[in-house]
Amino acid sequence: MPICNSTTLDQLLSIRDAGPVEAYVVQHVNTCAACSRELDRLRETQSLLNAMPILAAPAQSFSLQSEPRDKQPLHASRRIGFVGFATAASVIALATLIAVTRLSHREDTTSPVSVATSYALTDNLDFDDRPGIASLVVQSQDLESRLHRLPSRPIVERASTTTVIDSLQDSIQLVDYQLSAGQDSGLSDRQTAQLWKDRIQLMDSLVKVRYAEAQRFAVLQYQ
Amino acid sequence: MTQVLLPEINASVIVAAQAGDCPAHAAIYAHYSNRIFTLIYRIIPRRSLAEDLLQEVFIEVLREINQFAGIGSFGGWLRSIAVNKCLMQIRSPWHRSMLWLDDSTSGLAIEQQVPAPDIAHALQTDMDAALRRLAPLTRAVVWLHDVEGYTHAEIAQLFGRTTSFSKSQLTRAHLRLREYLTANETSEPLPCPSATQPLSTNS
Repeated sequence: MPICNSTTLDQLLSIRDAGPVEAYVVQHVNTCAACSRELDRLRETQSLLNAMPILAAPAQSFSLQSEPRDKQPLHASRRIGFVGFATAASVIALATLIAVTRLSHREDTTSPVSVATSYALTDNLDFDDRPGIASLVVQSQDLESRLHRLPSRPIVERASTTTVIDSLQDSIQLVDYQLSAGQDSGLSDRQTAQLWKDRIQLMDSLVKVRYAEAQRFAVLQYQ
Repeated sequence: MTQVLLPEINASVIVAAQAGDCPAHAAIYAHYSNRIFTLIYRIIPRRSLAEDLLQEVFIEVLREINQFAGIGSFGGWLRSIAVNKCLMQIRSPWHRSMLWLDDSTSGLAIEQQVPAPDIAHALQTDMDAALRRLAPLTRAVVWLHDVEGYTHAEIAQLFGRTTSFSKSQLTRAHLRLREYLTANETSEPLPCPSATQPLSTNS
């Protein structure tokens, strides 16, 4: 940006920081009132930045526990045991994967997957209405409790299912973070409602995936 | 321009910390936390994020403290970890997804408890607000260059860009800061005798 016909802000910053500048520029700045004033202003801005107060860090919020410095290498017998266990686990995983792949091709006509279908969201939510947000929160909590009632996840699982569940959980965490950070920064009701709506949609998907996963696992157990 | 040195801590404290001494860890935190928190908060002006980053920085510092060979400044080593954490945060998609929340600055000021507003304090408050309004990259560059004393070459290396990038970001930062500060002056005139006429902005 030109300050006057002969000087740019870049050059004035270089003069301020004692950087490389052509001699004629320095000569011009010494004689030009506008450039000198701008140079003073740049220095003033820098001094204002440097004068900004040092902020108080929060009180030590993490426990300073000394960790073991060097992990002990596995004893030979334990190492053999570990390799054996890993091999057995791999075999079981492979067998399960084959069974699950076969099962996934079957049509399940009696599937009671109706867990979350009652939460089909309406698009005409009244975002300016506080009770609207309250009902979204209740829906979200209800889905949360349904999720907790599902059996714990199987130890061996298809990678694709795990990836889907992980990404859904990450997205829910992001929404939760935005909701909590939004409390500090004053989210509008509309933004809050939109976040809750996003959360419900994600929770709905998560419950469905987890339910399908649990159902498949239950079928495998009784085969 | 050279990097501004942080006040150094006694070398014996570092040695004790490297041996796993918990009071030494606490001493390092007490010695550096305010300055590192200030650096982080000025680059990432969101208190909750800045606190998280501060925690991450010290966890990494104390975990990797044995890698500090004693060559150079411990404060400089610590600061470089903090700066890298900030830049990683700025680059992350997570951070970008949160940017829309930064439109609102209410409730974020953490120097609100400072009593007795005077001219100097008013100017600092204006500068604080202007700094927050800069784009994250621009804000990081101006803070690292004008306050922490990083050279354009060092900033370019940190960002994986050229020195021209650093210079242009610094120029842009000063341009924006002036716009914000001038706008503030015209809307709420401060009794500052040194207030100068705004420059023409035709470029």
